[in-house]
Amino acid sequence: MNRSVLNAVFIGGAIVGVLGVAGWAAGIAWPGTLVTLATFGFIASGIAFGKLESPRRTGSAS
Amino acid sequence: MNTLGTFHLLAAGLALGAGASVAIARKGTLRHRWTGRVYLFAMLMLNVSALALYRLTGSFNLFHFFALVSLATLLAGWLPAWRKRGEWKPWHARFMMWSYAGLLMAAVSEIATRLPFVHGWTRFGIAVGVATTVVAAISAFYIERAARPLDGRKINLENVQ
Repeated sequence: MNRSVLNAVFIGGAIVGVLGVAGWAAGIAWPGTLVTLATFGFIASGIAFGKLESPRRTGSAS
Repeated sequence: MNTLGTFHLLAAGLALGAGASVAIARKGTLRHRWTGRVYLFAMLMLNVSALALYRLTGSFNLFHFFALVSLATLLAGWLPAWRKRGEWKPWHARFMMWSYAGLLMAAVSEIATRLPFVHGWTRFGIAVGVATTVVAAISAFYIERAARPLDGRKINLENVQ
């Protein structure tokens, strides 16, 4: 996947996750939605971060 | 929600993110180790705060027991990587992946108990039971598939960047 897309998912997911936690802490309605949002945001961010380190294939066998 | 609850949720978020990263990324790299340490720290904070939360029943309950199981799984996954003796990698991989699976079970249970039709202790219990069983079954399939190649095989990590 494109590196800039992964960067966007990494940062965007973390923001969504933190907003979900902040919304829950602030007592905004629909806590289930906020917990779901936070969970998937953090997981997506982590997956993107994990994929970011993969070295690019150069095509060289040596 | 109180401060402890917010701290617990933030630690859970950090562990969910760090754990996903460790699971996806190449193993044995410097980043794998450091992200793993972040995961270890977040899980310790998560479980310690879980053991201090008593809002649900007011006394020690099943979720505190699960927190102790989670701590035991985490330590069982970390110790082989710390000591690095014998065939430690399959043990490290399996226990760490089960540690993350446990975290996912808790997260999905947390979401399931907040579904609009989950009212009362019976439905609460069913929601937790179903969510935990489904995630455990899927995890068992993927963990065995990922860890089995490590059994009885030495991996040369010097070739890994």
